[in-house]
Amino acid sequence: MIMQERQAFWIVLPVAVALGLLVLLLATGDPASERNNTFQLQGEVAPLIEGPTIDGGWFDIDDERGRWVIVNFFSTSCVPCIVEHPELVAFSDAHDALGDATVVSLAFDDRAENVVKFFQDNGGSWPVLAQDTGEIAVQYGVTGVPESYIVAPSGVVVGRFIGGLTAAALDDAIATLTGADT
Amino acid sequence: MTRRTASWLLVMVVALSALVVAAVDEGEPKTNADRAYSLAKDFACPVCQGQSIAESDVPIARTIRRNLRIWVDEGQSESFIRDELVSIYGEDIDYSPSTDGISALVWVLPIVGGVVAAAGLTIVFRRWKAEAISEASAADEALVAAARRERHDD
Repeated sequence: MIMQERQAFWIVLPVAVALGLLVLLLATGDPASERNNTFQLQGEVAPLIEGPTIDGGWFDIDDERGRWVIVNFFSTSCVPCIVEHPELVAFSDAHDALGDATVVSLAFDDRAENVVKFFQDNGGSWPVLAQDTGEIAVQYGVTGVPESYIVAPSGVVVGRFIGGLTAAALDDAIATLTGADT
Repeated sequence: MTRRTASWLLVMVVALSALVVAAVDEGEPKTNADRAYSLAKDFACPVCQGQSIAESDVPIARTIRRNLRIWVDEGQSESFIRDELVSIYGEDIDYSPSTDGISALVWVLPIVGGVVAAAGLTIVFRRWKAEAISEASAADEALVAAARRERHDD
């Protein structure tokens, strides 16, 4: 019997080691709750944003090289987007005069007519794309709205805001990043 | 080959056949929509817990599903689509663990454990069986005889 127990032990041992390593491997991975913190675009050239704007114009992010661009994904039905809108207006108004930064908004999973009405009601004179923005949203790795990306004058994505932002937070981020971007 | 061995072999053949058929016989997606849906099942919704892009109805999952359809319609390969989504949302989005680096152990360890366990059990069962049919010792026979006598006396 003792011999049988010893034999069983030598079978169980390697299986237990293999299973233990497997559990260790799975347990040491990033937890699912931290997935949203993954920011793959950091330091990458900003994915192309090009298309018609709701005022009948045309926007191409490559034409904005040389100044900061805040790429803002939003939805007219999202409360935090409504709350942050006046902050974007304030930021845009302040930087339009300086010419050093601009905002571009992309409606996410929304209707163009709702977007037009939203800007009529709430102000904002920056370019807004409302059609076929899904592919661009995926290219940026958007996970929800509001979500905003800071594109440096060099055309590289250097920051991201998940959730609502403020004009002061944007200014602080740009001030911090100014030394880093060339 | 005994009848019992043949029965076990038959059970193993049936079980293995069922596994192979289940793994292989899903059939190739027939349309682009089928292929896009099949791909959507392979990726995790980036903002959900335990739901695939195919299952989730949050806006980003719907958007990624639409993108999958566009990529499939464009004729992009599965590896292109996989690489694209992993480069954007990170490896966590891919339900199939990577076969490179330390992640490959996720594939290797269960196989190693299974093979070691099967081999070990086979060896031990054979050894135990050989021990079981060994002849009774004189002490065993004396014990059995005593038990019989006692029963007979009762």
